[in-house]
Amino acid sequence: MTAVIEVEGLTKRYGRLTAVDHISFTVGHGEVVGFLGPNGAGKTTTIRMLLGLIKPTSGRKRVLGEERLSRAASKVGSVIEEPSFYPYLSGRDNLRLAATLYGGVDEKRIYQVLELVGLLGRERDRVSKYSQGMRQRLGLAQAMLPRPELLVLDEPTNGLDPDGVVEIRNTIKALGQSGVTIFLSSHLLSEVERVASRVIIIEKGKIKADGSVKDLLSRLAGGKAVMKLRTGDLDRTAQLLSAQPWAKEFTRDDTSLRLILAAQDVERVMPILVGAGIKIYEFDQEDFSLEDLYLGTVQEGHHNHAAQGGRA
Amino acid sequence: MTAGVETLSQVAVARTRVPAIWRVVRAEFLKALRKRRTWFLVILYFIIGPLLQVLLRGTRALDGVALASNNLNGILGNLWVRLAVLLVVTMVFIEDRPARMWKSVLPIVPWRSQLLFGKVLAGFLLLGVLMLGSGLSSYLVGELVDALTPGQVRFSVRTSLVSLLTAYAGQWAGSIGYLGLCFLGGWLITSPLVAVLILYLLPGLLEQGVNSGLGWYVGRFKPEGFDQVAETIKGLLLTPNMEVGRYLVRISGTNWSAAGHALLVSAGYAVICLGLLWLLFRRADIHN
Repeated sequence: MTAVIEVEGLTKRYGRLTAVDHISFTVGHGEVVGFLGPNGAGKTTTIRMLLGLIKPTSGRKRVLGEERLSRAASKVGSVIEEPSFYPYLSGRDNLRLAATLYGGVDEKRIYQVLELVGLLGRERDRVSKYSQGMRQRLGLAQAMLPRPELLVLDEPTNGLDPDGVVEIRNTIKALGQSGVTIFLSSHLLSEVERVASRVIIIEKGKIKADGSVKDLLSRLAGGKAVMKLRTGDLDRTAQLLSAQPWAKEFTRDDTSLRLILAAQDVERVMPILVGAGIKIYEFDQEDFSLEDLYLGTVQEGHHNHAAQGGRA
Repeated sequence: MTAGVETLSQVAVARTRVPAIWRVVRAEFLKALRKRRTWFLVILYFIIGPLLQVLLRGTRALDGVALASNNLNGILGNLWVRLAVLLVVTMVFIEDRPARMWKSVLPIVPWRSQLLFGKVLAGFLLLGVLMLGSGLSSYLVGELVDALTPGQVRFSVRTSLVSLLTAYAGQWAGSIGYLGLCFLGGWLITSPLVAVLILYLLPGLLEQGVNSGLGWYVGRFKPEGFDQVAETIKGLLLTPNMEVGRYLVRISGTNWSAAGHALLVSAGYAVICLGLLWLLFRRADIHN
């Protein structure tokens, strides 16, 4: 697979603070990679280094095979945090401005990207009248203008309403399916889980996990299973199961129990409940989510930061 | 939405080989045409300014002989020029900082020097358009008022249109020093409002400061033969050298030497300020 992004030992220091600490990874052609981490983990700094907005203290990065972004800029689209536009220009004129800067982007393409992000019909309105979500979508439209081979998106769903989040998610998904390589930073884990095939988790400037979502989740599961239970008598169910040494942990809300146990112990649950005469309405195995993975990785990092190496 | 995505698989449009600096200039002109401030400047410099000069300043002619241009005195004065330069530079450069435009524009135009000097060139060209229009408008307004006011008193400069435009062209060229100073100040001062205020007042304040300093020095030490040095220092100040146009159209004849000196001083300021800005811009990590 051709590497679209290659990062090797990339480091950024601001005085004594090391924002990004010798990180290395590659992103292959056509991959949709989620770049995750808590606030201040170094996500935006990494993205800014990739896009030539700040200079790395040390290390190397190549985008589309080029060390200097200037040689690849016409094939890279980006949205960094909240995109900036001239408020006194209309959405269409802001895109025209960007199209002029890119060069070789015609008027037809401007309307295509406006349609792509659902802003057709509002293109003549000044950006000052746009909602946060509309600006975000305009940012995505601008990033799409040059028909990029690589899209770098930093928190593209920031400030969007639920409809906007779904629209952006679908757009990113469709773009990923069309072969565009996407490097996506977001704090909305469920969103990343739905669009990304691979995740890189960064914490305190170091990479804590890097792999396909499926692999990382199965590694996290490690022979464990998550079961969801809805029964006629939740109190008694909880009482019975908590007495079992193999039921590792469980949480409950008003309507259900969530039980984590070894995969081979799943078959032990039903006989106990049936034997006690408890009606079972639901007994379902749930998958570990990206959130479980993320929290597990980041919390592990908090507890054991000094001992951690680069990659998980 | 899917239809739009499908277009991605189409063959990419062949990119034109237009240098980035020209793409930046074109983009800045596109921006300027849609900015209200541009039209405010156009109305101010093309209509209100020339009219005010003619109507309020009275005649500069006696017995049918023009003594000086109403229009040149006003529009080419450094206060008017400073206002124009400052508003243009604010539009193409100073406003971009708080609007956090760099992070949007730099990935598109990663050639920092071309982006920076594209903006400088755009500012200078916009100023040229403003000056050219202002010159034409001054001529027309003068002629119009002359035609409407019979008698010996003439309001217009009664020189050829060419010499009037030469004066404006000279003034345009002479504004490059202040343009450079505004770009540098706009980079160094983060707040646009503070930048505009300081940059508008700075040349005059510096001039006053230098004059006061020289006066104090002469008064305190009474140095012999210092007058020449003082004159040379005063001759290198920005403000008096901004009025190149006035040296080019004079009743006593064009003062090419003074105009050349003013242009050289202005160019010197431009080289120093823009050079310094270029170094700062290249070294900077663009955080905002």
